[in-house]
Amino acid sequence: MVEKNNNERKISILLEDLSSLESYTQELFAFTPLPLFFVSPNGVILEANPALEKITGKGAYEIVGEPVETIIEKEKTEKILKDTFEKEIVFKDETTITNKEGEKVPVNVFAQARKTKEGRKVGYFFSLIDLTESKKKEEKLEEFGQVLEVKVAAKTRELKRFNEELEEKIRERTEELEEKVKELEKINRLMLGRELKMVSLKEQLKEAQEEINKIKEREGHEK
Amino acid sequence: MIFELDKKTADDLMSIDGEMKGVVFKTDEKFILNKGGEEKLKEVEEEIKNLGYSLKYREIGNFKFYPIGMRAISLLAIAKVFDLNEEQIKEMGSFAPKTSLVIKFFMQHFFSVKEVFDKASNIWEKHYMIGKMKPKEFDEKNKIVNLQLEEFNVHPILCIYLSGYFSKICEITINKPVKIEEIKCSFKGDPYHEYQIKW
Repeated sequence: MVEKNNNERKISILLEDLSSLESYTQELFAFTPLPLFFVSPNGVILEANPALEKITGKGAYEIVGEPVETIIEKEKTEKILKDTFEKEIVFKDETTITNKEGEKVPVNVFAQARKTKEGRKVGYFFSLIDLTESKKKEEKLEEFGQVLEVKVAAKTRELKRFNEELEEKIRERTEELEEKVKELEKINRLMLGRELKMVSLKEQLKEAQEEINKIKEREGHEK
Repeated sequence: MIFELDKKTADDLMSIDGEMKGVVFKTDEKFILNKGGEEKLKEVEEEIKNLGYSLKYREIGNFKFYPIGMRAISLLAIAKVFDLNEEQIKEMGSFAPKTSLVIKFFMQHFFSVKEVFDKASNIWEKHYMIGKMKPKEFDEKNKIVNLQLEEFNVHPILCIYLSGYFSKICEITINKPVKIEEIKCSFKGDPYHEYQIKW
């Protein structure tokens, strides 16, 4: 009788522990903002948390019991399951999932094989990271980069045109200056010729004066 | 409404010996909330209260034991509140494995219908303290499985409900739709219930 009571008490304590453990697991599973789900070895979803319901727009009752392909496209699912089976873990594989409205949601997939104590694979844990916001930022950055490229190209064209105009002006100015230099050189040449002529005339004048003086001197002697 | 639910029916059900785990009521709770929300949950609880019994779905413990009669009362009250037909009761049964914690523990280890077939009695025992589930025939070539359920004469609503329940377990396992038929029923004069599943 005492033993029976003890056993009943033990069972009652174990049931309470089990309930507490179950409640802890459920709360943790429901709390995480990361979409989590568990997949059977045949690729059927057996468990889904509220975050997965949110990202897919489907209720757990619509997700559980359905093949993974209803969320992740078939080819990708096959690849992930194969990789997970071989490597036991798939870390950060980018893909898209389809929500209830048929919209594609970019995600990173993490998957890990679950095994029994004997080492037999009994399913896969899946976790997703929603990339919608980071993709939007990437697109904005890309858009900004493109705008910047257009602006830089426009500025480059403007600078090139300015440069060309400047070169044209320099060329024109150089030509003008060259013309002026030529004129100056011409004037200079004229001036120099005149100078030389003057010098030559002066020389001639001097020679003529000396000749006259010589003649006058000779005439004076003759008289 | 295909089944009556009155005080006498409830009292008769509550007089049946046997227990089952609270996890089955948790699947009922999820079904009600999914189909009709909080308002309907209160309506079902009120329906049971009017019969002189109390069932607070939120206070149920997955691993605690409850009288088997309450299982049928819960299903009958849900069927009454939602005015479910036979097909919809079957759907309610097929909803349960998707949300049952105990089934999830099992399903992780299932690769084929054969394994489910072999473990059928274990699955049953994890839920019900009365009745014996026996794998009767497994014909892999013709893709037919027969399951025999003995000493389980609670209420015919469970026959329909369990059809949906068993078929969904098979569908989840093989990832294909299956057909199920209750080919023998103790409420129709047979010595036991027998379900035939084809895929």
